Amino acid sequence: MSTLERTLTPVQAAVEQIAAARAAITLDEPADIGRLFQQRGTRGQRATSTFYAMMKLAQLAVILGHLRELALKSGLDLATLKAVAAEQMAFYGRTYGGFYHMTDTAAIVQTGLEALPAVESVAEFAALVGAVSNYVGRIEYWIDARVPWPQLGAAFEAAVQP
Amino acid sequence: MVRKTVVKEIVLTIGNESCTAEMLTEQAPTLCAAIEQALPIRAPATHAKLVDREIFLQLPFLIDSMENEKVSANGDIGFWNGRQTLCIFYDDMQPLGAQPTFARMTGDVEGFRRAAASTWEHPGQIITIAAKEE
Repeated sequence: MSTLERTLTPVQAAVEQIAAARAAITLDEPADIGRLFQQRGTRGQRATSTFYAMMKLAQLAVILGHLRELALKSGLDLATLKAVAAEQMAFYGRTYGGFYHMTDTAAIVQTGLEALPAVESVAEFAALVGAVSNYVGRIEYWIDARVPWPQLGAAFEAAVQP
Repeated sequence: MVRKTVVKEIVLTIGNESCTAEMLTEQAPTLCAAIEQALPIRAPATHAKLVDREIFLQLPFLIDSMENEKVSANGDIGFWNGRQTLCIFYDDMQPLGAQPTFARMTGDVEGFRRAAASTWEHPGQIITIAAKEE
């Protein structure tokens, strides 16, 4: 164990772990994307499972972003912010690892969730939820890159013509 | 205290197409300093789905600054802290609202515009943002 690792608080260690995981998927598509695309939704198609996964990733990214803003600007008490963040991370983390098979993403969210009780300051809270938000947001954009948007847009237009 | 910026211009590249952008160091010193510190940036570009002629890339950090917040115009480059995205408005579009803006595309942007537009059909292309060498 390095000197650096020994001196990190549990929250700092979690933030660094999440940031390292995020750095690893900057240019390389994470394995979770392949696992997600193995999953099929109603009537055997993959569009709905893909879009619902994107929606749920974006939801947690945005929710945590708002909680971070509240922590930094509103003066809300830390215990309340931690409780709300924990509820959201627990729910969405289970969702990612369940139906969508995005087990690595679920593990990252779990890392954030497990570090939350150790958060002692607004700065630590902001760093932790910011790191989780950034990671799940990156996953959403990786899924986005797999979606054939022009073809989808054309098919949708054709299907909704009166 | 805002770190003093050195980079006055950046170069944006997708594939073989590049363009230059002027850093708005007077209007957005905090934003410019944060971006400068992260250069060179290399990430997959995502095409916007609502405003039309915009691409963006997610950065691995947040910038808590609302400097130079303005309704985005053709050629503006901003940062949206909500999703940690660096947003490039590469042509005429319908902005969703105001955004902190730290740079502005300059000079010949036609080639870059074509490359940026192609990310709609071919998502995930790598965009590189680097300091312009003197």
